[in-house]
This record gives sequence, structure tokens and C-alpha cells, in this order.
Amino acid sequence: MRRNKISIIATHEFKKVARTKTFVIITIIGPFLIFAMTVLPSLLNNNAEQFQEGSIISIVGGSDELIGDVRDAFSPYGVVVTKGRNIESLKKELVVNNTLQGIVEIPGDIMRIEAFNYYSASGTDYLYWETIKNIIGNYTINERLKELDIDTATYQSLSKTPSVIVKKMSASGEEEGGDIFSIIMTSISFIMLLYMSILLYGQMIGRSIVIEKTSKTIEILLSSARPDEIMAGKIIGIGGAGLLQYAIWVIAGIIIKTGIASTAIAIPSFISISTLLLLVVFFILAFLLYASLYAALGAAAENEQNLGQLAWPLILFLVIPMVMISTIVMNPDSLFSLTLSYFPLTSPMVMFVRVLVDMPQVWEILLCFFILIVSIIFSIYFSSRIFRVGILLSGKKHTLKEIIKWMRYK
Amino acid sequence: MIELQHVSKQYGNLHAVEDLSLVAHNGEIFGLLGPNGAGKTTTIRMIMNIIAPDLGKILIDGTQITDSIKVNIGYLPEERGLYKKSKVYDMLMYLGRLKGKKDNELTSAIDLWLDQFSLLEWKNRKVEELSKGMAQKVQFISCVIHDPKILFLDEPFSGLDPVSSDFMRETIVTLSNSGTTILFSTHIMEQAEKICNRILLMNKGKSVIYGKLDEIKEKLGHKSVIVEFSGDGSFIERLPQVEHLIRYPKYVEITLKENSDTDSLLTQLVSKISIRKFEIVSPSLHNIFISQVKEGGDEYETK
Repeated sequence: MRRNKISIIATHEFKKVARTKTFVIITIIGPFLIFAMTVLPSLLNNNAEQFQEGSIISIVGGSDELIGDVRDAFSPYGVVVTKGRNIESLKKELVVNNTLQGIVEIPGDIMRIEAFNYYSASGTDYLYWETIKNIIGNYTINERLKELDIDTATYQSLSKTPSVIVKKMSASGEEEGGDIFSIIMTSISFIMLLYMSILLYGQMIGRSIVIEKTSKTIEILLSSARPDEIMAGKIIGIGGAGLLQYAIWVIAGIIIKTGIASTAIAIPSFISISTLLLLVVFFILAFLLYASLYAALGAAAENEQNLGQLAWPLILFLVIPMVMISTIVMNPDSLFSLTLSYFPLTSPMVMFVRVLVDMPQVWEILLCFFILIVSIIFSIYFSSRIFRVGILLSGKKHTLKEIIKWMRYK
Repeated sequence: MIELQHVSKQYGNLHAVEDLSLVAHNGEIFGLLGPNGAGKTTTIRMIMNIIAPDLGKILIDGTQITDSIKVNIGYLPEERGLYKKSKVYDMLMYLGRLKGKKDNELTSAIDLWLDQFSLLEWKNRKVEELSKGMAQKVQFISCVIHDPKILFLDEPFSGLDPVSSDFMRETIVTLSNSGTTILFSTHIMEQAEKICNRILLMNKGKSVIYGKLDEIKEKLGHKSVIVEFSGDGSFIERLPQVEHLIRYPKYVEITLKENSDTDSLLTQLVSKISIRKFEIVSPSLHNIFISQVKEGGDEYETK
């Protein structure tokens, strides 16, 4: 059967990518990796520090009652609290003999102090000094209240501020669960996923072209196919491999979400199946835009290093949403976020974050799609013109300015 | 039949090809010769319809070229490039499919060609495992696998050992006998001289010499004489018949002036030195090339 040249090139490129070990590994561990890079550190951090059984805290100054309070708080964890006298000898114990966890020094009248000292060998034993701070804080407040003859219950009711309950509304008007923390973490995970895959597959296109150009394989291909067929075949083939990867991730996500909802890897409830599909659409659009630009740069570059030099403006636009992620998540409606969510080089990532965080209007998403599609058409048109000229010119490095001139060549 | 009619191509201020005309008949081995930068690659790219000429016409079998011509073209570029990570078979299949061949035709053609080049056992090995010479052969197979009517060979012998080189030459001759038009590009004149029927010699984008090889030799070549002798031969250079003289350790090569008589030269030599060998040779393409390029007033750099 005679086949269309684009489909032959695309099939070849697809197999070349999808058969590599890297592809298989990334497909399997990619989501876990991103989860590990974003969510895990903060989860681990919560359990990172624990009280050390048998560690000793010495308190210099303060009443026996206060020391008793501290002792009561630590005793369940096996931490010993002693009353110290000579601060200098204790400091020696701390740093020379290493027998102490920390020393609390309360200077003067507990009722009037504004701060107390905590000496520690590490300075990072956050859990100890935070606990001690809370106990001493409560103790001093209670003592001060006693002095003024106010009972604790009155004080508590007077000083209580109303708390806030954050409820995220979905587009259909339902209340959704999910706290702000998990929304932020999920947004970061997804933006990472988009960033990494766009960069990975975009660069793959650029590199594949520059390698064929330097190895002169492109000349053989040109004796069989037109430059635009080669470019289209490569973009479709490599993009197809990326799409396969996303399809595997999304299907796995849907199975986990619908089938085994109450597993350890529960997907946050604010991520619906349509959100996952939207992720795929944003990947396709972002890929097409970046791939066509990378194809032009790959054709124009003299070698792989030169490609890296030419591609920095592209990477810059990919990195902006990554760096500004917290600003965007916190202020999804700010002018900055809105601008980035329509600007084609950043919009796939930023608009997707807006979808996760504050569900923009349907017309906003459609406008974003429209701008992206128009940009893709322009980008493919101009890139194919650069591509045609670039792949035939070797032996010299070209500046971006020269490359842009090629668009006008007949 | 390939026909170029007054073809020109300009890049900015550079005339890559200027007013070039040629005809290569079916089954002919046509030598496209010239130094680097002469415009050979541009010419080949225009014939393959990769770039369009600014002026002039390119006809294949009497019709203007279109992209459909690519199915009938095989191209062996000077700098060889194969997919290193691909298996030999997969890569040949890919390049064959791009030429519009059916898979079943390709499978048997690949086996046939690999067998001919004694590479059958390498069929499922990766290209990067091949030696340089084997990779050259695989590259050659890739450009003939689809049975092209027109074959472009850019320096096909470079990097081949003498045995492979001979085998390659035989293959090229066989293909030409079966009707394939071969456009052969080289800067080594001895090779062109051995296998080309017709040549076009380019320099700086222009045609310098064009025609059948034997006619060119007849017309442009001055006779040469190789003389081996003992004694003081310094007088030879000043003899009236001598146009040009090249000294080698054991002999001299004398290019004679037009209409000079070799008999009178021999008489004059015998009277002064003792001759061991006196051989009249037809002019080499190399000499014709150099003299033509020099006469044109252009500098010629050999690679």
C-alpha cells in the first residue's frame, strides 16, 4: 500500500521515541516523580522531627510551677526537664559534653519578660523550642490574668477571633472539598507536568532535526519528501508519543478516580475527569506551538549546543509560569495572571492553573484556545519557511535576526 | 533523460549556478565534476526539486519536474548519514517506504541487495555496529532499494577499500546497463575518466567543459608523452614542441603543443640522452580540467 509521506515519517518518529527505555520509564514513574518533587517534601516535613527519648532540657530561672508545666508537656515523650542554676556550666554541657538537648534561660520576672533564650547545639530543633514557647506563653498569660483577676474562660471568649472556613465552589455551583494546601500542591504538580513534557518533547523535535541536519540524513529524506512533509511528520510522530504518554496517565487517573477512589493514591476531589481531559488539550496545543518553534530552531541551528543557545527565549517563557506559580495560584484574577493566561507561550500552563484554582468562564477558556490555535497556525507557517531554508544551510552559525530574515526568502 | 536549459540560481549576491545547460541520456553515466563550491550540490538539489531555479527549465523525460519525480530518484550524499540507533533492515524499510514502495517488494529487495553486498547477516544489527565500509554499502543500498530511474552518486568511492571500490564500480556499470541514468559527482578525475560517458565540468557556477568524454579528449586534449631516460634532460623544456613539462623522479611527462610531431621530438631526444621508455598517452581529464580552469582566468583549488 502506498502511504502518505507524512504518515510514514510520523510512524517512524513515533516508534523511535516510544520504543526507548526513557519513554517507558517516564511514562511509569513520571507522575510519581512529579508528586515526589512537589507534594512529598512538605508531607515529609510534617513528620521530619520528633522528640528524642531521654533528651534533656534544662531551665534556668522561672518558678517551679512553670518548670512543672514544661515537664508535664514533655514527659509523655520521654524528654527529661531539669532545673538548672549555673548557665555557663550548662552551656559547656551543651556544646562540649553534648549531654543536653537545650537550655531555656528566663531572664528576670516571668510576668514582665518579652522574650526568653533557648540555647541549642543545632538551633534547628524547632519542635522543642516551639513547644516550650507555647507552654511558657500560656503560663505567662494565665499568671497575668490572675494578677488582673480575670478568669481564663472570660479571656478566651474575649480574645477569640472568628476562623475562616474555605469552601471552593465548582462551576456548577456545588461546594467542593479540598483545602487550599492540596489545591496549591496539585496546581504545582500539574504545571510541572506540563512544563516538563512540553520542554521534553519540544527539545526532542529540535534535537532530532539538528542531528539529522548535522549527519546529513536530512539530505536523503529531502530526496524523498518535501521539507514541510518532514517537519509535519516529525511533529506528529513525536507529539503522538507524548500524547500516548498523557493518555496513559489520564486513563490511569480516571481508573483510580472512579474505580478505587478510597486508595492511598486518592486524587483530590476538585480534579474531575473533564479537568484531566482539559489537561490533555492544553498539552496538545502547547506542544504544537512549542514543537513548531523548536523545529524552526532545530533547522536553523548548526549543532546541538547552538540549538541550546537559540532556544533560550522559548525556555524563558516556559519557566515564567513555573517561577510565578505561587503568585498565580494566590491571585488567579490579577492582571498579571490574566495576561499570562492569554499570552500563547504561557497560556496553556497558566490557564490550566486558573481552571484548577478558580474555574474561569467558558468563554475565557475558548478565547485562550482561539488565541493558541491562531498562534499555532502562524507559528507553523513561519517555522516551515525557516525550516526549508535552515536545513540546507550548514557550516555556519546564524543569529536569530538572520533566521527571521529567511521567512522572506522565496 | 535529464535536461537542464539555461538554469540559474542565485543566493543573495552569489551566483551559485549560472546559465547551466546539460543533457544526460537514459542509461548514461554522467559526470558532474568540479572543485568545491562549483555549484554541483545546488545543481543536484535543483534536479531533485529540493530548491527551485531562479531562471531556466529542468525537464525529466521531456516534462517539467514535480515532486512525483522523487519516487524515481536515488540519492547518495557525499557525507554519509544513517540513523545510528536503527537496525539496518528497519532503516532500509523506512527509506524505501518514503520512496513509495510496497512493504513486500521492499522485503525481498532488501534481502537481495544485502546478499549481493555480503551483508545479509547484518540485517538485524544496529547501524552503529557496522564498520565504516559496511555503513557505506548500506547507504548505497538505501539509495537503490526502490529501483530508481535516476541515481545521484556524490563521491561514491570515498572511504571504500579497493575490493569494495571495484565491486561498487561494477554495480554502477550494471545499473547503467539496465537503463538507470547515473549522475556521478566527484573531484577525483581519474575515477570520472574510468566510468563516465559524458561529463560536465563546473567552476564557480558556470559550465567549463561539457560533452562526451572521448570527444572532449579529442578536441581539448593536447598529446602527452612520457619519457624515461638517463642523462641531463634539462634541455627538454626548451624544445619547440613542448608546451608544458612535469618532472617526476623517474621520468618526465611532456605536454606537446598543438600539431606537434612526436617523431621529431623523439629524434631530438635520442641525439642527447639515452631513452629507456617513450610512451604517447592520451590527455588525462585532470590535465584538461586544470588547463581549462586556468585558461578561464579563474583560480582553481584542488581538494
